[in-house]
Amino acid sequence: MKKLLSLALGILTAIGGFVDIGDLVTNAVVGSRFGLTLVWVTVLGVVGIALYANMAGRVAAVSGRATFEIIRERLGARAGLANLAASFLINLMTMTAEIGGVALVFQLVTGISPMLWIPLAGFGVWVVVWRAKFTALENATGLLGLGLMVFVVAVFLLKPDWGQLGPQLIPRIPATEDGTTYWYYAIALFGAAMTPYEVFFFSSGGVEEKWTVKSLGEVKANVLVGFPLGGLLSISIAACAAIVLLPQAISVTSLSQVVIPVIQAGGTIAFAFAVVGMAAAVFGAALETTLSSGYTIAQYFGWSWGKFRRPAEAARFHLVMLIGVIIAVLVLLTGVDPIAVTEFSVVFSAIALPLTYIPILIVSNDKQYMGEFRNGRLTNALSLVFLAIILVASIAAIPLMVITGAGQ
Amino acid sequence: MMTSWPKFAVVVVGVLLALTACSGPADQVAQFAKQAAAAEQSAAAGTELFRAGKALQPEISTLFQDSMKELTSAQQGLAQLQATGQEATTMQHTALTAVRNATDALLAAQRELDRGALSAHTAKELRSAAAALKKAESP
Repeated sequence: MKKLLSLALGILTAIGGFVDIGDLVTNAVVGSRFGLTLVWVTVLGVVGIALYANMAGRVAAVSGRATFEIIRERLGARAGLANLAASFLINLMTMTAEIGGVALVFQLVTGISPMLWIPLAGFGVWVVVWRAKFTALENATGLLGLGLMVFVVAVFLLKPDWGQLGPQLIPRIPATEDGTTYWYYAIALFGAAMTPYEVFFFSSGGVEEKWTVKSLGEVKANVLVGFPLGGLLSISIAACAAIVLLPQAISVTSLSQVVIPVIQAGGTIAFAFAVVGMAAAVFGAALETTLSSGYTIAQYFGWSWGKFRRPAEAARFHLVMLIGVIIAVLVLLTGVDPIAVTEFSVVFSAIALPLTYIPILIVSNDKQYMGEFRNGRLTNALSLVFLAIILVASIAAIPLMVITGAGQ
Repeated sequence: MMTSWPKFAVVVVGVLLALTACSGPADQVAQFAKQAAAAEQSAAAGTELFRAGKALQPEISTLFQDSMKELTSAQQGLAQLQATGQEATTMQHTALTAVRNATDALLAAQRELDRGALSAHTAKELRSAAAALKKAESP
């Protein structure tokens, strides 16, 4: 019974923790401009992240070690450093977007400028990362993040014309948009679904929670049930925007527009659920990216790391996270728009995807680390298909960003 | 002598620059008008939700602030645009006027919201300002 409860909790946490500021904004932007014609990208991204997170989780469970420790050992210091530099910078950008996102959610509730909330959000992230236990911070934010289910409920409360909404699921470029913009947002959506930090966090979290071979079933359930249901939240955010905002030609540029459909569907109660869900999801993602910044650096340099150790025993790990939070707060205090940071972070994530996912594929096929638990033929075949997609997305991202003026 | 990679890079950059330069002044005016129309339309939608008792003041106040940022950005973009030709110049003028009217309507709405209420007249003004901006998107 206890095991079943733990499994259910893991799945619920995976659902609630799936969405972050990148998913919130990108899905709403896409829904308000392209309707549901890009849902296939979210589905593709969810399959991809589930596939690779399962691999990273399996590596952690079998070897007892996290991704970056093995990447450096397996690929050598130089290749590992290139990987680390790109991953850390993208992660820092995502962390900045998440902390800014927390400030924007608080602005929605209070009407007070996000500039005032940014330092408080940064301080809150640091205190929680410093003081809270790993499972507590993961479960609390994941479960409260389930408030985002209000977007799924809203889709039904809005009573859309299903006959009109259904055909939108067929991939096509809407008459009001051009092809390059469509593909730019396809890549952004793919980057948002497959954000690299999710894999670092998942694999390092496995070490934090002391996964073993016996945990493989739990890992699989979290990934194969939790992530797709999390993806459903992403699709419902896009659907809400497609039902309410697209017909009024409101293309989303701010978080305050993302919640309009929910308010229209269920008034202040629905708004309250949405705000709790968004605050938890974005704050949770801020914690995850902060931890990921510490994980990547500490694991590469072989420093003592992890929340399972007291901060004094992993001082450099905590110092990296503190410096990361300070940088993120300072960047946001320059007045840069957190939504713009979010939009860029998902596209740059797409660019850096191969650097994260190629090493995972190599390590999870390594007999020395994985023994009998290395990838099977089907997993490898699917992974290679996704790797090809990831490479195409990575190569096309910058040219499309230049041509479209970042999706204008 | 250049190696093949730098040559390739030069060609790629050239193609990208050519593609980005494709949109003319009329397209850019339409783009700014579209940006402003979306902002005004969302302010109008928020006003109606507030009037229906569905939305709270802080959320609508934030929505108005965000809309104002978009309007200001569109207005700056339009003002800086070097339109050439009769059609583009007329479009630019029409769009600028529409953005200024939309800004006035939004400011009036913000003042009302600060007093805790939004009138039907304000909602109507925001909708008609959004409609004028929509019209300004095309020549």
